[in-house]
Amino acid sequence: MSKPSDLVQGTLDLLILKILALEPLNGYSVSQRLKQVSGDVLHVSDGSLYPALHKLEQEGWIAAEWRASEKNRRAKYYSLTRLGRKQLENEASNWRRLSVAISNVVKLKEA
Amino acid sequence: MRPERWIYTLPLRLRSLFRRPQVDEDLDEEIRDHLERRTEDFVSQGMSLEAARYAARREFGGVEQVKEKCRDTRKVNWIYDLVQDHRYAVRQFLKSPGFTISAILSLTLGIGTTTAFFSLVYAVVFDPFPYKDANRIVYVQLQGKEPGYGPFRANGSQFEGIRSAPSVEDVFFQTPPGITTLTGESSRVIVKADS
Repeated sequence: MSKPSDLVQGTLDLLILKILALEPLNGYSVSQRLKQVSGDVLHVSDGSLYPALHKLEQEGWIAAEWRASEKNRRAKYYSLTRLGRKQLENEASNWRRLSVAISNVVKLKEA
Repeated sequence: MRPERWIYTLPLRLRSLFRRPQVDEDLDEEIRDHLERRTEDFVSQGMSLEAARYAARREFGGVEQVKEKCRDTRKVNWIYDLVQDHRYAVRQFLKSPGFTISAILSLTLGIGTTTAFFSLVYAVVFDPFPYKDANRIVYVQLQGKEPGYGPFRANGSQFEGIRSAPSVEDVFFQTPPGITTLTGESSRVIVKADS
């Protein structure tokens, strides 16, 4: 089996936004969810996950709040903002168009 | 669109600027939390605490690099960097006072004299009057047809004549002794009039 594919930065944003659209999570859970859902195909290193989360927060697409977790710890939970929802729609439709275009090319029959 | 975004991002920006240590600490805590959870995961899979911790760290990669990348995403970094650069510059200047003083003196003399000179020239030559359309103010004198016959000032009826001329907007006169200083383009325009 080939190496897990490396993600382009733009699509990582789309994945994170979608995951957070389902429910607010903290960084670790986002990482877990990505691994679960994509079946280990998508290789998202934590080293690129956290900068991506912070970038999305700086853009105003996700908002963070600190919640008390068990064992007297604090955890930073991210949730999608209204703007983030719009951005998610944009990026999702871009992705659909892109994948359709690529599929069309791949489906071309040889003469 | 843009204004709505500020609701989320403005508190963030302000905090990144003015509560920077707190923000950095939050970042540390977030990463630490991630590593601890990963460690717990490994422990529940049967690893020893030490091995789990090591594995979690190893899987994460370079913690400091990741933190640096997260810090780089902050949009106010340029302000912070600018302030830091200024502070550095001031510190360096204070270290070599001789250079600093001569640089300041040269700049002061250069800028000061140039500005003063230019202001003077501008006020006298280019834009002498603080009136609107100053270039349409003219001083009228009457010149006789024969050379040597004039210039005269206008008398009463001539004054009225000039005033009613179509190209003249308005006329005012001074009672002598009046000092009229007109500067600027001193080109004479000779307008011929009948009678």
